[in-house]
Amino acid sequence: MKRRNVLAALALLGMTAAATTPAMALENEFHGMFQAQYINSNFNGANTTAFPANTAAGFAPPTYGGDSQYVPFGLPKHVYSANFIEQRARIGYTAKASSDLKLVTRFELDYAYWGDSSYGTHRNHGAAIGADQVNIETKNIYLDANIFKDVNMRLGMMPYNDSFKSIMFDADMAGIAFSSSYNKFTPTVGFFRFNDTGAAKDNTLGHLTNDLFVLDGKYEATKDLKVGAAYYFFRNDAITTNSNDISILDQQQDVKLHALGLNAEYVSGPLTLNGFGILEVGTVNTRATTAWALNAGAKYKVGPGTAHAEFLYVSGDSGTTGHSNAFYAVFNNVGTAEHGYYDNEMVILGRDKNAMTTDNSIIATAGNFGQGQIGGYIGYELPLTDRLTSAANAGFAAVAKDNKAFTGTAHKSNYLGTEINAEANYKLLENLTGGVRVAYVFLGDYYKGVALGGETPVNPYDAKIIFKYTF
Amino acid sequence: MKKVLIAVLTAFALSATSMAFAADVNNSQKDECLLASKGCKDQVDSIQQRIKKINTEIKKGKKVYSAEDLKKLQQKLKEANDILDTMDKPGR
Repeated sequence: MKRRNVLAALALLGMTAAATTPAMALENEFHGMFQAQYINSNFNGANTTAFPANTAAGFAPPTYGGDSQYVPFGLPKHVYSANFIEQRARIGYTAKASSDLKLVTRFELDYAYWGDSSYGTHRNHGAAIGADQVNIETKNIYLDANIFKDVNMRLGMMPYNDSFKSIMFDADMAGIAFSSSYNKFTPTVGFFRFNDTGAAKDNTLGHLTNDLFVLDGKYEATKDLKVGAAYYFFRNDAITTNSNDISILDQQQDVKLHALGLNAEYVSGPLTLNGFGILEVGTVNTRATTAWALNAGAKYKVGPGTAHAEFLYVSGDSGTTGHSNAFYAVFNNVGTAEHGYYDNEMVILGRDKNAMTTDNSIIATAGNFGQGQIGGYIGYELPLTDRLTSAANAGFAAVAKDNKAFTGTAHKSNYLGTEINAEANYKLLENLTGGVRVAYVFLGDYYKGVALGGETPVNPYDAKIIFKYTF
Repeated sequence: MKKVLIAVLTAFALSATSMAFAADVNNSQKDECLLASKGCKDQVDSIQQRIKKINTEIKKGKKVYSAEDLKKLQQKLKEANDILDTMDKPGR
C-alpha cells in the first residue's frame, strides 16, 4: 500500500472510531453511603442479645453486637450497658451501555464495632488498630436489561423483596426476574435459588436446594387506587442450618409452601391507606401448615407534619407437633432472617431502620419463633426547619400464641412490651446528616420473672448518635 | 485525498453533535441524559441530585415530553429511589 493510501486508511479508521465513541460511551454511575454511629444500650451490644443456644451448641460468642434476638432469659436482672461505635460503607458502580442495558454492582465494608479485630479475614470486622483486614463484601452483581419492548430482565445476584412490606423476604438473592408493563398492569415472574447444598453432601448440584418461585401482579385501578396480588412458592430440600429452626443445625429440610397474598394502596388527598393479607398453605418440615398475616397502614398529613399508624397480625402456634399455624418467612432462624418489617418505625420491639451489623430486636422475625405477633404502632414526623426534622413513635406488641419459647414454661402474659422512641436529624451538609435516636421499652409480663432467680429484667433502652452520608 | 477530507468533515459534524449533547438543558429542551442516558459523560450527580433533576423534568410535563417520555422518566425516578433505598437498606 502506498504511503498516501495508508494515511488515508488510518485517517478513516481514526475518524470512524471518533464518530463511534459517543454512541458506544458507557454512562458510569457511582453511588454509595457512609454511616457511623455511637451506641449506648443495655440491649444492642450487651449480654441480653447474645443468643444462649449458640453458646450451648458450641458456637463462639457473638462476634458482632448481638445475635439478633432479645434473650434476657436466665441472665441477671441488671446487665452492663454497652458503649461502642459501628461503621459501614457501601459503594455501588453501575455501567450503563444505554437506558436499556446496565450492569449493577454493589459492595459493602462494615466494622461491627471499633476495635473488633485487624490483620485477618473476617466480614464485618477490621476496626482494630492497624486495620489491614480482608473484609469487602459483594452484595450485588446483576444484569438489568430491557430485552424486548416493555420486558425487563434482571439476572444475577440482586436485591429483591416481597410485595408485603418485606415481612416474608427482603434480601440479596441469585435469580432471574422478568417484569413488564401493559398499560396499568405490571406483572413479574421470577425464580431465585437461596441455597444449593448438593456440593457438600453428595457432589450433585440442583436437587438439595432451597428455591423461590414468584408470580406478582400490580394493577393501577384508578389514579388513587393500586391493587396487587402475588403468589410465592417456597421449596426447600436443602440440608442446611440456614432454615427454620435454630435448634436444628444440619438437617434435611422439607418445605413445600404456597403463599398467596393481596395488597392495596389508596390515596385520598392528605390520606394514604395501605394494607395486605397473606395466606400460607403447605408443609414446613413434616408439619402441615396453614398460616396467615394481616396488615393495615395509614399516613395522614396533619398540621406541619405527617402522622402514621400500622397494624400487623401474624399467626402463631402454641404447639410444636401436628398441624401448624406458625408463619413461614425467609428464614425463621433469627441468624439468617432475610426479611424485616420496618414500616412500624420501631428500634427495639422490631427491626431498627438504622441497624447495621448490630441488628437486634424483640421481634426479629415475622414468625417470631412460631409464636406469631400482634402489633399496633403510631407515630408523627415533624419537619422543624429546612435542615432539621424530628419524629416520635410508640408501639404495642404481643405474641399471637404462647408456645413456651425460650423458657420451656408458659409465659405470664402474651404482652411483649410498649416502646417509645424519638429522633432528630440535622442536615449538616447537602448529603450529610447528623442525628440522634433514643428508644425505651416498658417490658410486658411476657418477661415477668424470666431473669436469674425469678426476677424480671430491667427495661431495655437504646441511644444512638448517627452520622450518615449518602451520594 | 477527497475521501479523507470527507471523513474529516464528517467527524467534525459528529463532534459538533456530541457538543450539543453536553450543553446545558434549558426549560424548553428535553434532558437526553435523564431520558436516554445520552450525553452524560461530563455529569457526576449524587443520587439526591439525580432524583431532584428527574422530578424537575417530570414537572415540565407534556409541554416538553411525550406521554412515552414521561413514563420513561417515572421509571428512572423509581430506579433512582431504588438505588437510594438499597444504599440505605438496614441489616447485616
